[in-house]
Amino acid sequence: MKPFLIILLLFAQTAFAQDDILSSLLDSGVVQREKVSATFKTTRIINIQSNETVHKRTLDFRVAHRFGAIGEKSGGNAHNMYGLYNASDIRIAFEYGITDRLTAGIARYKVNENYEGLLKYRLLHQTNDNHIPVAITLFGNMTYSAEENALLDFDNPSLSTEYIRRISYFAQAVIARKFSPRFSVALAPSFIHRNFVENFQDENNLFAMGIGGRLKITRSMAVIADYVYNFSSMREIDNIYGYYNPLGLGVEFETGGHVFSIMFTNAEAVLENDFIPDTRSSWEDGGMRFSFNISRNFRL
Amino acid sequence: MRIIFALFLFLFPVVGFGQVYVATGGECSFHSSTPVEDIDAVSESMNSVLNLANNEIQFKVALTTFRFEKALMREHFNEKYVESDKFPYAFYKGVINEKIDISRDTVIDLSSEGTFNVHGVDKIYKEKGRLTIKNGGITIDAAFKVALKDHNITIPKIVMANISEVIDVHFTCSYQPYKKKQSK
Repeated sequence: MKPFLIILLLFAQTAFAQDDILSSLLDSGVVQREKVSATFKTTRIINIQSNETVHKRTLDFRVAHRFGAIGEKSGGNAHNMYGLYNASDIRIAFEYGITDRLTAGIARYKVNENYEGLLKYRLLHQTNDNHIPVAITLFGNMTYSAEENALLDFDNPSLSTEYIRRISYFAQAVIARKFSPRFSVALAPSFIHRNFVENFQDENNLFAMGIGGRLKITRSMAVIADYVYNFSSMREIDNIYGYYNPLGLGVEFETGGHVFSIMFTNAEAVLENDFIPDTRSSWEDGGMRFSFNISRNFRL
Repeated sequence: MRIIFALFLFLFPVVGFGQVYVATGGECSFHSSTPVEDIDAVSESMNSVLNLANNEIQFKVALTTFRFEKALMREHFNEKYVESDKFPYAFYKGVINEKIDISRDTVIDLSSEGTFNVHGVDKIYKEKGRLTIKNGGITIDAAFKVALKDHNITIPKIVMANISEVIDVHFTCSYQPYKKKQSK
């Protein structure tokens, strides 16, 4: 009897082994470690950059509007439709995905008639098994102000001084993490260099820290927010000089190929080189304004 | 007598394995057609197991292996529609109704009944397919339709005109006899 039972047990083992082998055969060919995608829906949160870049061979046409201040203390009233009739800044940009990692773009701004050339590079992808816990994207731009400005042309305008004064640079590392399918946060240490600053007491080189996040409410809609803190003695002492840190709150909607962001922010300008050091409106004084960003992706 | 019976039992697992055919890297594609937009996706990572001893057939494909013409479509497919982070696979477990004779080269039409699961929702499907036997190798290809509602895949109103409510799925798998690599 015993040897018979032992042999019977052996069959049970083979039967189980068969199921395991078949399961692993069905699962073969699947990469277990995957890059986390769509940490944010588009390349910006509200004012600051997100870690997303434009997909390869895709053109992202972007329009950003900042209207006038809403609150009375900051000049908003029924006569200007609480800021809707004033556009404090408009940005029109074309950003192109050269590869999935590298985006290059050009843009034009109303404020200071700035022309911007930008590059954005995905250094690191977050992976779904937390082997790499964050995504890191680098962003840099160089801007040129084309406006007629007596201050810019002030000194003896030799060729080198005039053009150089109109140029500024911005560099940033966006460190982002998708905590859950609904919730993502980004931290953005930033550096601005302005060749020329209007206030002679101001600093040409500035460090700042941006923080932003998004919370998905439905599959197509999310709440977004961001804030930038300036490490600048001029901007830290009780707003003596009238500078404020920019804060934005809003919602974003995604359709097939568009992302619309509707938000309120106290930043008057869209360009990082301007709104980070140069925001003069405050939320407390009703200086926030209605704003929107539109992004439309075209596959070329 | 017992010994003979025990040795006789030894035959069965071996016979079971001998009738197992495996396909890896099969091609699976799906297509959605609306007046506004056509959406096509292809995966070359479909796996299948066919057991001729009991006519059981299983298919499995990882949803992240589907490639689309537009990268944004792939992102939306995984993030919004099939939620592949929660439900990584689409799989089918069923039975082929007709007897399969692999000794001759033939092309025959088959029918199968079983459970198909995508987006975490099971549904019983009864579909037809074609089996081709050539030189001892088996190929199965089939096409069937999936109604997104049946599997709780909802389309937001904004893009309702872009995505069809019924998706055409097609796949082809080429099978090899399963050879055990080591003895247990």
